[in-house]
Amino acid sequence: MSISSVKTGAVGVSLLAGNTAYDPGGTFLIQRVTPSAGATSVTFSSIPQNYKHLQIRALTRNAASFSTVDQIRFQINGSTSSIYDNHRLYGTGSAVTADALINFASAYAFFGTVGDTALANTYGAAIIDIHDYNSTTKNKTIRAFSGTDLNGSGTVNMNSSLWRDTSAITSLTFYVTGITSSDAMKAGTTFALYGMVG
Amino acid sequence: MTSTEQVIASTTLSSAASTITFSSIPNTYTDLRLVFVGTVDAGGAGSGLRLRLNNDTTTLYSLTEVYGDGASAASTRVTSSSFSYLSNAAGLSTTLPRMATVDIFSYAGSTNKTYLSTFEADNNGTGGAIERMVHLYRSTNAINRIDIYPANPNFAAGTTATLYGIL
Repeated sequence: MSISSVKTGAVGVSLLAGNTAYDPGGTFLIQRVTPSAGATSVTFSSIPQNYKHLQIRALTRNAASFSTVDQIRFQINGSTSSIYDNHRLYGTGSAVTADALINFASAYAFFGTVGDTALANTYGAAIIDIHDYNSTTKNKTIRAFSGTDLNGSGTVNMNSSLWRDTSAITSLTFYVTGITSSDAMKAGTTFALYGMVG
Repeated sequence: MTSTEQVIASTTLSSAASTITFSSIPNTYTDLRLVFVGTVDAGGAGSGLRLRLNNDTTTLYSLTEVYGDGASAASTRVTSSSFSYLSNAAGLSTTLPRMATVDIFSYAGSTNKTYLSTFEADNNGTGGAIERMVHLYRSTNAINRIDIYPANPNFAAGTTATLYGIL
């Protein structure tokens, strides 16, 4: 049932009980994780299936002692199978590179983090989009835009990934990697998962 | 349930202006997103798009960029600048709207500010580019003001910019 303003004539939707429920649409925070000191991964589990798309926004720094930028990797539904394909386009400030990482055991959001001996108080950033994440008939395509600038060094990256699995995505696990294979995340690192209504 | 992404302010110019300013930005969000679509008047043809935070003119801005101009791809770097470039390979047009987005992470936090930007310019021919940048503003102060402006005045009427807060 619609209602109209006597004053302005504007027509709106009545929210009285018995009327059609109003769905505002938009983007909604599902969960934000700020890992504790020493954490080597962040997992979003039991991802609700009532959205159309997902977006992850991350601000990260490694606790490991190196000064360069590095990668964020992630796995879907705990899958460690070599069914992730990645295409990267990235710039280092002096050169641009395009390459592919095929049949990998994880997807990448490159150069969205930095080691702990790099410029202090500086974190890498990444925006990762997964459209149609809960489809059960489509493989999953992921887009990532990430980078770190250190005022004289740094890298900006665009990445597309394919997860060759038609399962709905119910969990995502993120890692930051560097010199060692199990780097911990620096305090202040955050990952936020958003759901977009379609 | 309220959307996590909310409009803080939106401006559409009714006449030419040298700058679009968002001030008194509340510190209640986590990230900010600025979306710009616009043109310039004759005096600004070909000029770059720029951004400044907290009206800070000190040389605290830097960036790393990758872009393609239709003929080649390249990567460049800017260090210790007094403003932030949002376009570097292509300029603003008097007739063809350019689009830019800026995502500023943890803008009210106590770390240096990292932000990602995009810039799209197509001319149906030469002179356009697609640009992707990562920026650093070496200040641990919360961001409460954003200015976006062309290198040479002015933005033309109809130019629009919207600032969103992301919880």
